[in-house]
Amino acid sequence: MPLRLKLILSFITISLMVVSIFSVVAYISAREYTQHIEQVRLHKSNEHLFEMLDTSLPLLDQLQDIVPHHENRDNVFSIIDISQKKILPGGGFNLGTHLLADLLIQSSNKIQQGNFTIGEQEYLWSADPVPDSQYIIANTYLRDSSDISTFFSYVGTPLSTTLFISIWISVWAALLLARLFRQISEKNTLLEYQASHDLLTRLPNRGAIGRSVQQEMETARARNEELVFCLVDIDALKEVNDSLGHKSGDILLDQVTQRLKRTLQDSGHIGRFGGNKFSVMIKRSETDNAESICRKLLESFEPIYEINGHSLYVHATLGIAIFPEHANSAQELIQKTETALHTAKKLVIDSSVYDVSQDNNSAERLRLTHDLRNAIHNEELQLYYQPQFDVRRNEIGSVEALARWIHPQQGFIPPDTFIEIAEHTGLIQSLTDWVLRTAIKQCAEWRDMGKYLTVSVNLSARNLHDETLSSQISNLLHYWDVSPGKLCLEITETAMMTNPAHAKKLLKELDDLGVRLSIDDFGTGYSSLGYLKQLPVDELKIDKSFVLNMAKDESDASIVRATVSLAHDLGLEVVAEGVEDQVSQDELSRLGCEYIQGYHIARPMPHDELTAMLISTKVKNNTQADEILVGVQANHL
Amino acid sequence: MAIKRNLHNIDIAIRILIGIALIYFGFVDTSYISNDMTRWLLGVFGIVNFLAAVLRSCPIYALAGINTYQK
Repeated sequence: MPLRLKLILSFITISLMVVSIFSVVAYISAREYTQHIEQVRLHKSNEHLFEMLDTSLPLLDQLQDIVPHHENRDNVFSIIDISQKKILPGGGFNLGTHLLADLLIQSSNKIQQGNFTIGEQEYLWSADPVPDSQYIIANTYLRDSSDISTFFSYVGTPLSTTLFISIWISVWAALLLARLFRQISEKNTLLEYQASHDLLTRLPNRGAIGRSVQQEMETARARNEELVFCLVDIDALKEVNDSLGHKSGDILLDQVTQRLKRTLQDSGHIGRFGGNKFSVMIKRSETDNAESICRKLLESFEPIYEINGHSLYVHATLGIAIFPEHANSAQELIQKTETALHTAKKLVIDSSVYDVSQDNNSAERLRLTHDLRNAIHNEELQLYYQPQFDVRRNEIGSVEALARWIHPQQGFIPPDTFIEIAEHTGLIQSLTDWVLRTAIKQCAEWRDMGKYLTVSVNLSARNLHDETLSSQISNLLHYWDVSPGKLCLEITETAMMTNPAHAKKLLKELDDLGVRLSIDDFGTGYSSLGYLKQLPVDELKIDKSFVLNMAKDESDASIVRATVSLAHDLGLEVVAEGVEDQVSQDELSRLGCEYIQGYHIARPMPHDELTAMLISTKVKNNTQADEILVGVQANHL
Repeated sequence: MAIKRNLHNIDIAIRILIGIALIYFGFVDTSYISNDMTRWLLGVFGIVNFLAAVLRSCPIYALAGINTYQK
């Protein structure tokens, strides 16, 4: 039953009840009131009778004479002698008279009034003592039995009119209330919807997705089913928003929603995970395994999108995780899917199913992060040094400091792994601090031994945001009394390009200190030569990927030649790393490359090993480079 | 603010009939209802109904969001 009708009916019922109760109360009150009026009248007619009495004449005779003349239907007088306790002749009778007389005779109270009922008939009476006598005149009146109908004949019309009007008003009130309720419930429904849906695509939002994943998971668990949860990342959304405006972006999102709906039909739950991400949850079955779902979804994105007259190709990236294979709770499943998506984006592939080995946030990685923190704090890392051969001076002119971590349980952890962890967890700053401290201290030690080596330290992109870096380096150099020119800071060109303005400022500060600056891994990033030429760098390190193959690959050799030539033209010195054979070394020397670094010269080694090597080659300071190299390699084999 | 019609013709007809009847019993033929107050109340209700019918708009309908004119 609709709310409005329900309210109308209940209000009408309430009105009817109120009017009925009111009628009953009014009837009872009216009867009491009329009884009072009638009794007053009975008293009055008694008094009227008394007024007719002549005190000089015998009382009883007069009473017996007058009473019959006054009697009518409304007044039946009885003469009662209280002292003799009997009804005297001369009065009238009705059914109530005897009863009343007995009542009065037994009672001591002389003035009374009341009512009593005999059978169906109700009598009203009032008894008044005759002044200065033992007599009582009791006036009895048989009440009209048709009172209630008389009552309603009087109040019926006003009552029914009132009823009519009150029902009318009730209906008004019910209508207004129904409207009010409807508005409130509409607002509630709307709020509920808004709280759980994305208003643009009308898909469930992240919160609602979480809840529905939880629900579906419980169902799947009970039925022993598998769930595939998938995040779809629309790569082009930002570009569309930026180039065609947010309206077009909205149209794109809408079209994506339609395509997802068409692709999945009723087989899955679609949600807007936020920004450019959609979520798809589907039951895994024989026909719908993770791969086929991926394929279907990716295929649905293939056709060109038509947005405001522009034809766009929109690429999507998928991340997938499966319940219960990868996760046991909704939150975990979503998190794993995000990881998978992240992996897919990082590897620039269309889709990726969650793989624990690629999970940056896995328990393993968390433990490693924890251990790394401790290792840095307790100085358990080791610093290795890889010599750089100074071609012009025919000696080891500098060394590159490289951090090494031997994990107590897991053994050697590749630098790429722990440096990446450090960069992502903010540990990189303390790691760099430690490397700088150790390297500068070592540099001072070698100097004290008469070995004037330049030490190169790698800086990460994150270090370029450290405002205190230059002052810290300055302090260290000052403390160990190391000439700034003996410290070289290597920064990859990618790091320099992440925040060029910032990098430029910091490099300027470092250059003012007199520290050497080197562009690391040159040729692998996307640096602008125009920008690089503005930087106060001193040297350029050709990336080892070019040097490694230059003996075999002519194009790599060309790149190396061009880079060396370019660097020289810009007034920079060149370090070639990754030199692993004599042919490459000869060629690099011929090209005029200033420094050579690589396994052909020496592997990275601990400081004591390097010190020993430096001492052993001391005597050969003036011999040819080849001889030195023999010594270095002999140390290492 | 212009009064917006919200009464259907049938609604208007019923209101006119009721209105006239109530005004008649309320103010014209006083023999049916002896109580002045009751009569007066009925008459006022009659006028309210009649007015709503003439204006083709019921304020209570407007507040309650009911419209018998356009569904």
